[in-house]
Amino acid sequence: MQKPLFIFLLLFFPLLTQGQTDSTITLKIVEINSVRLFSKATGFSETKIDSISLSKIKDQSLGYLLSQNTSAFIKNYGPGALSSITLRGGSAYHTLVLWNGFSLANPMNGVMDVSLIPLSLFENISIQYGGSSSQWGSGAISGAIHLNDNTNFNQQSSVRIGTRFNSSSGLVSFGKFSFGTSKFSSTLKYFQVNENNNYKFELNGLSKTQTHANNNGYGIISENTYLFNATTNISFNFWHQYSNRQIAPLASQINSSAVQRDNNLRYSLIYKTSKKKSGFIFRNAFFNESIYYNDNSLLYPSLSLCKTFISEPEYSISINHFHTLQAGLNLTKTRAITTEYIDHKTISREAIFLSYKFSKHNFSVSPSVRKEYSNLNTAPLTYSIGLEQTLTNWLSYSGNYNTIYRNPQINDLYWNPGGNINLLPESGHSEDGTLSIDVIRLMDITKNDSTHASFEFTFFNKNIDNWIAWTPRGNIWYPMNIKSVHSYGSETFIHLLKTNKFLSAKFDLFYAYTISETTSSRIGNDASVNKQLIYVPIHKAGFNFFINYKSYSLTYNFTYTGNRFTSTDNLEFLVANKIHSLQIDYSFQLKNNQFSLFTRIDNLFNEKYFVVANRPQPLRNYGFGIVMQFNKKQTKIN
Amino acid sequence: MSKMKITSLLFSAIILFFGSCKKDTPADTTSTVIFNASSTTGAYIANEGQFNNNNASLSYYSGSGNSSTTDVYNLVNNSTLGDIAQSLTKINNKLFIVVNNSTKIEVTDLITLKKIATITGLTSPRYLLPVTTNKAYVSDLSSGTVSIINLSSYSVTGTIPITGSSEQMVYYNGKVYVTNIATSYLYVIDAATDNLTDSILIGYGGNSISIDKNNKLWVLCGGDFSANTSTLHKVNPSNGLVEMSLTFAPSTYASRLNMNDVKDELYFLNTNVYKMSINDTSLPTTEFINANGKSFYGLGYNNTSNQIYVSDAIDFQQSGRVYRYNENGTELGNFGAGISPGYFLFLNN
Repeated sequence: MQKPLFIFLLLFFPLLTQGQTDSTITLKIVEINSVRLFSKATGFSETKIDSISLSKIKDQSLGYLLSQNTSAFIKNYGPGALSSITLRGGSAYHTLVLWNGFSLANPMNGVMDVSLIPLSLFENISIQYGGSSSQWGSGAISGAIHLNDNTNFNQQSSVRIGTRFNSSSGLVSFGKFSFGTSKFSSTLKYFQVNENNNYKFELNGLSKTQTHANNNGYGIISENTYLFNATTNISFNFWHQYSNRQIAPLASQINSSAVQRDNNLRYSLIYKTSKKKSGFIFRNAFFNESIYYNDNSLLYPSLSLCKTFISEPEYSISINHFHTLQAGLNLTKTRAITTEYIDHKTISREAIFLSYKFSKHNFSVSPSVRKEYSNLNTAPLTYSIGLEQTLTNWLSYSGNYNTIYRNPQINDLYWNPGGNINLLPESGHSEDGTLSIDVIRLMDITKNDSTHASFEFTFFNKNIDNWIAWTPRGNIWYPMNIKSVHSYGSETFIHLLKTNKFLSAKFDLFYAYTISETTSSRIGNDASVNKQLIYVPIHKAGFNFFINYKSYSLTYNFTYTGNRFTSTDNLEFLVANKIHSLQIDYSFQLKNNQFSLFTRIDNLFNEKYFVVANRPQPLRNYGFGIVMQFNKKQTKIN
Repeated sequence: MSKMKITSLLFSAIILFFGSCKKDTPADTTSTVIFNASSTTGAYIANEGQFNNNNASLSYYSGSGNSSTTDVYNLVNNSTLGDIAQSLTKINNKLFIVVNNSTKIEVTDLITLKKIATITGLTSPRYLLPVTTNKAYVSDLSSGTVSIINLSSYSVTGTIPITGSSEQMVYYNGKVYVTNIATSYLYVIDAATDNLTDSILIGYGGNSISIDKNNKLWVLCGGDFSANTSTLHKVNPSNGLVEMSLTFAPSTYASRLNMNDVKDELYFLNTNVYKMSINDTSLPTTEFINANGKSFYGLGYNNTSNQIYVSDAIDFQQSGRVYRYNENGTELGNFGAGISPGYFLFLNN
């Protein structure tokens, strides 16, 4: 855990610290830190979402969190509607979202809709920037979002429930039930959303009300871990989520009849064991996913069904203090069918990966290699090298080089009509370098441990060939390897933290400068060459300010998203938007239980804006909510 | 080197980096445009725009030179056209613009483009065909019907059930022949009774239709890129018999069938532009105009100038271009259009 996060946890989250005062740790749990899932990849920059930021917006989705707290551009079609990630100038297919290391992207269309990831189901979220195909395989081109479980043995039994009402969307409820003994940890989390999203927006000077935008759904996630002994455990996790959404009309349409229903069942079984110098983790998952879509413009509804089985053993060994080896296999089998395929399609992929890490003093270097085989047999060999070093007590650097790729999705290959079985994977390479400065130590004002200030600057570069895009041929759309894309830019982060016995305050600022241009095209006379990709803002910036005084806290967020071109010749664009939000929380305790009331104003200054063309966003809107945590007083069991 | 020196160097490098920042607004292309449509030489081009982006547009080309006036509908009416401008039809000095994904038809004056009416109540309209003085049919991608339009009240007065996705239509001798991109039939509607009277088995995916000088119907079918290949059919409307069927190579998509002014030559797209005589008994083996990497998307024949207009939609997400060729296939010039230019209406045709 990073030091700032540790400080946040201790100082800012009384619910956690107070809740643990009666707990006693009876076993010293040995975590397996050398495997990929639990260790920061050498040379990669990573942002861990601190628990304060996360706890304040449990009623929201991952898309909301990423939009407000990171340099990622979230292409959001409206409240409750599709949201995809654009990171470092990549496409929506270029950022993996991993649940305990398993990719959540639908294998058929490749899209990860982050509006369908409720934050109430997760407490451990981090963003790994940059390509990492040699770690995570296909699609890890621009970055990876990690959603990992927290296991707490001997945790206090507790129930946490919350609800939020928003003036423009509707009602969200969520809860968490935790139970733990010295051998067993179990957590059940749920959420339910009932939103009609009949929000106001303004178009051509006219006030309008959104219609046909209902978003109903629920999700439940169960995390259970049994501890055989201090070094060996097994986890069984289950995640069921159902979403029934109406697709709102375009601003140019009078009405819409489109509906989409997503139904996902996800299971994982993870066995972990470790010895003094080695660790073994055996991860298995089974996903059963369906997407139903219908509207009046279709001759018949579209139903996509997909089952995926993933099995991944991984072994790591530390030869001595300096050398660590990791090796693993990945076996993935996907079987898919939709009304647009001629028959069932099955794709089997097997991958082998190997990684070595050398660490000495303040220096680490780690080369990795991964090769994937499949019945399509097209994925390239990928390799990477990452290094990092702490130069002084205030200055450190890290960097990496990766070869990257993305396999065509099953729809790209087999959609009928149009699927192109001859598609090649998108492939290329990415590099980045990061400088980190501890400003407090730099300025020699290290006396006060309650003050933290850091500055981080990253430069990245990425080249991708065989970029896949769908274009029409007559009335039929089909995918092609159409162009090469060069992306480069920078990310700047500034973190400030100040605490004393009365106040706690933190200020996080980010700015991303992203150029992502077509460098060559297989289409004649293509004016997109040397132009910015559509929906990649050149500038994105923002800050989060948080201050806590006694039982009150205030959170202020500002996000600036620059102009986004909507035509590839860069003649049409959506204007930049500046969105402010304000949240005030009041927390209090009754006996052993905690209560928190909050109110939030989103789009504080009533900005009229579009994130996606023709999809209006809501004007100023208000939310109110309450979170209650009931704790059972635990007796010592040591 | 001191801490401050190192820090200063770092920040200088960063400032230098941002100093070379790229602009995120397009180069200023604003200019004063004059729009005077010519009823003899002018042409309108329907630019579909990007799906769901509400940026369909209409371009006007005077008939000569290498420039056009873009977005003329917006220029005149101060409002966007909508989403996916599919086709254009002129009836009695009025222009009917079928805007597919906005589920409407905009009606304007043919010359001034001043808006007259909007026809709504449609599902996914594609093409409009006048069948009597006061009546028109509108094909539809997904409603399973052809809509009947009253040309005086600009309203939908009824529907004619037709399976699948009705597409281009022609009128001949009291009957309307309707292609269908989702079946293998050419459908026949009695224009007097508005009843479906017959269906003629052709190839899968009929997308365009023309009548030659001998009053034979030519129907181009795109197939489905899979088991059904593209086909071309010659149909005798007097007896409903298919007199000739020609099959294209697999994995090709033929579309945009057009006739020349004297109705004895066919032009169509199949990646390139192809030309054949109505007397030919086989498909042309060599292209008439090679696309040379262009994304040919729309095709039209100008009866006045005997020129072939072909649009290049490039990647369908940027402004396209229109190329003009003479009857020998020699390029005469080209001009810019909007995004995804797909349909031509020559004012004097």
